[in-house]
Amino acid sequence: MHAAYAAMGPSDEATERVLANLRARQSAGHATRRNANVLRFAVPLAIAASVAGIVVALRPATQMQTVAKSTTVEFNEQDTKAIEVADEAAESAESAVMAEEAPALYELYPYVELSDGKRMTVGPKTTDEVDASLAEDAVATDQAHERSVPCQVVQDRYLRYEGDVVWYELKKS
Amino acid sequence: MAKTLNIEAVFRRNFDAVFRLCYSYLGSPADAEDAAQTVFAKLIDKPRTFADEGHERAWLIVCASNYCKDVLKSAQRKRVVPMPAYEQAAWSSVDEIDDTIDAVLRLPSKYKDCVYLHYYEGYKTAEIATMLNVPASTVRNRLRDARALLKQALGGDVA
Repeated sequence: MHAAYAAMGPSDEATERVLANLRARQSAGHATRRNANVLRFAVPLAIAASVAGIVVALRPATQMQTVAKSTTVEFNEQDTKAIEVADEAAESAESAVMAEEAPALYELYPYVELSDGKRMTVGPKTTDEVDASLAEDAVATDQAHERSVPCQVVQDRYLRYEGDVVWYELKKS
Repeated sequence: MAKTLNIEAVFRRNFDAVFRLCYSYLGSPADAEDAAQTVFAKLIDKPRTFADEGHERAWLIVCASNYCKDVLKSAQRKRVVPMPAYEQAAWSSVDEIDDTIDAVLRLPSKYKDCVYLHYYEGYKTAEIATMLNVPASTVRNRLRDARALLKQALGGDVA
């Protein structure tokens, strides 16, 4: 038996091919997070530089004025839009990092809607033997019904999130 | 900032085992390669921390087992595709292993992970039960039934 499995090993070419693909995938993922970080810091810096330019330009004018009042700088519409873009980029970058420390899936997506429209809540892990061959594809959602992830459901009783190995019990909502 | 996953180290430690498991399910080196790559890609897309290398391997093996079962259920697999001639030639020089491999590949999918984990990876039934989230008695029953099927197919004791 052991010899049978021993003969099923991968070729050296297959091993190196898969490793190369995985390296490329990981590099692509890192580039996406690096770009988000660049946006996170570069755009606010650009805004700060433009604001500094406005303040410098205003200073000679205020110095010429005899009225003593504080100078306020108001962002124009273009700067406001740039700030919004920077905020979105920062949020995206933070999300990429937070994804690695995300809470358990059952905390994020505790509901599942079944094919008959019935809605159930994800319960505790089950110790029952679950026959995965009976599983049907479904979608687990968050409380606001705005985000969802793929999952599998068995006989309206058990749920497993995609990529996970643990089965949870389902309860009526 | 979270620690970057050293995918190459994880890969070097576990690709061989994951590939063999996928091969036992899917019956072809090409499909096994695709499936094994998908399993490691899941780890890149959603990195996680493991308690130790044993935990890491257990996670990968169970993930591979679940993925292969899903592949087998998919409509695309319903088409019957004969094994290419060059793949058959690779095994034909070792008849005894060839018959055993054939018998293992023909096992029902619910037995394959228990058989692989016990006979090749050397896990005990209690350890397998934890990995697959089933009672230990279920694991023992599956191994017993698998041995009976293999004995029937091979016409002798299963070692």
